[in-house]
Amino acid sequence: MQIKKAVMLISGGIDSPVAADILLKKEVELIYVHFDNRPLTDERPLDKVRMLIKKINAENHKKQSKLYVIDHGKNQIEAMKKTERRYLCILCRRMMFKTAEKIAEIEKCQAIATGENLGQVASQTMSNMKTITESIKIPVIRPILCNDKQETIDIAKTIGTYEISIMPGICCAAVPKSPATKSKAIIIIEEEKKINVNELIEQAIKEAKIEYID
Amino acid sequence: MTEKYQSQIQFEKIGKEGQEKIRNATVAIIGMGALGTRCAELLCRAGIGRLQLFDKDIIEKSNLQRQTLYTEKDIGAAKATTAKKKLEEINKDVKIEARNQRIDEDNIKGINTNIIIDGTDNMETRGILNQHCINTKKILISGAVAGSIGTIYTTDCRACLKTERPCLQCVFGRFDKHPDKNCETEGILNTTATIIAAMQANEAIRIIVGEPAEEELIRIDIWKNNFEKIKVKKNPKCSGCVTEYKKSSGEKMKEQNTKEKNNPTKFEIKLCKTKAAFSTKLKTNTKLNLKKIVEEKEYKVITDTPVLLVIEDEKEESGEIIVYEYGELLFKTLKDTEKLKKIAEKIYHNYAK
Repeated sequence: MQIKKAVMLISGGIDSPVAADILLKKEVELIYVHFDNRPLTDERPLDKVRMLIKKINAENHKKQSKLYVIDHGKNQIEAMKKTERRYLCILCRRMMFKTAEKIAEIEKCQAIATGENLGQVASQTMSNMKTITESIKIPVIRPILCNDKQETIDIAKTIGTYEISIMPGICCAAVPKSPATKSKAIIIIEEEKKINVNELIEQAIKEAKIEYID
Repeated sequence: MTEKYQSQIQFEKIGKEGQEKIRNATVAIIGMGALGTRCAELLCRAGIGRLQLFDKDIIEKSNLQRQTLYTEKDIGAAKATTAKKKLEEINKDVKIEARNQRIDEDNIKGINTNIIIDGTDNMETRGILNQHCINTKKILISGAVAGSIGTIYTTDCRACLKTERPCLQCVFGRFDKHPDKNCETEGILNTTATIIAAMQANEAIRIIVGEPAEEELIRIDIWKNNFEKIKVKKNPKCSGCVTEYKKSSGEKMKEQNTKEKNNPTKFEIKLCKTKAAFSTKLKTNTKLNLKKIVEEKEYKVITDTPVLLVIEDEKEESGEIIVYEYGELLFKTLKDTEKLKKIAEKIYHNYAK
């Protein structure tokens, strides 16, 4: 059988573990990436990610998973200093996807997978999703894209990740009060030139902490 | 009387006194469909003093599945007067007034009760009810059902003209811009309607005996056995209640604003959404001078951006604090609220601009 392998973006929230579980049940092998936003959050999201992966692994009889922890806070701060505030979430997500694509190359993955859910937050509108993955060459898989939040919560409760996901954790402090919900790629690409994205990403991958979670 | 309502009087929140209040109360029910009939029956059996019923429709075969006061032989008869007849058979003590009319801006003035139960099936009538309740400071208990989903929301117009309580239009948007989903397009379960009607009747009784009106929107999905309470907010641009609200509270708000302007560093402490950390927020729109914080070096600055800083008050062992330009402080680890208050007071005092 052909090996199916994807880079799975995982936060400490409710959605991404459910997306991961769906893919594992489809026999897709996952390499996890977590974007650590410290100092714009605290250490709890990362702790939750470790617990979540453990839980999903137990649920799917997986022995061990590889997790990349990316120092994303540093990159966000760079963007906060130099770019327009309301585009921050879009630029942040673009950096995440570009980083994930690089990791996919290193890990020989054919796709990037996320727990994105259409319209749930500013960066997940149809318009912004298009802008965010504009430069990404490999497929982006979004298993719960059109779920009702309640459906996702129900699955999370069944697989036992819900209780972990709702544990306290400081939300990303960088989110502006009114983030853009619509965007055009040309404008964002111009905005992005104010920071050296490629260099930031190269550095972040070089400094990534790799963990093996049982 | 006592014997009839014995079980209800035994319930401690009602008691004899509450039962007397129920006997003296009048409730209007708009729409005698699935919600209206069930709700009317419950209030009637509970010994309500007087009921005013409104509905223009006649009873059809397809109504019998859920409109519990009507039977096969009533098909073709007017809903409101038929309901009156049935309710009088159930409890002769209740005075019932029935009008076979659709409620409109004119005849709505005939409603002389403080509590109105909205069992209508269209947004236009709901809009009329909402505006009437705002203009006359009444309480509107709205129920809506489609399929297995039901919602109930109480618009307490006595409160929404004085406080931040939203009206029905704040919650659902303008009534003329609403696609009407109803039982003809979505179907309806009689079980869902019964639950919502019972909750409406219950809300009316609670209010009559002196409990405060429910502030949150309640949504149930009976097929999934889900029950949710949803916090709702006033729409600052609502054309329904805000003009009236501003009129009645304008003076008070002005007073409050000047008071707070004279004290720009007044703040509140709250727990953040995920309950992970405490934060403090200024009550006015005063901003913080981040540049000055960095320059004066009173605190250890961990992150420096134009919109937020991450700092630490090492003397106070504050742990990391996120300082937002718009006046909020988020204490990542500190849980001692007294200490936190002291640190926040100092920052606000020195750096508010």
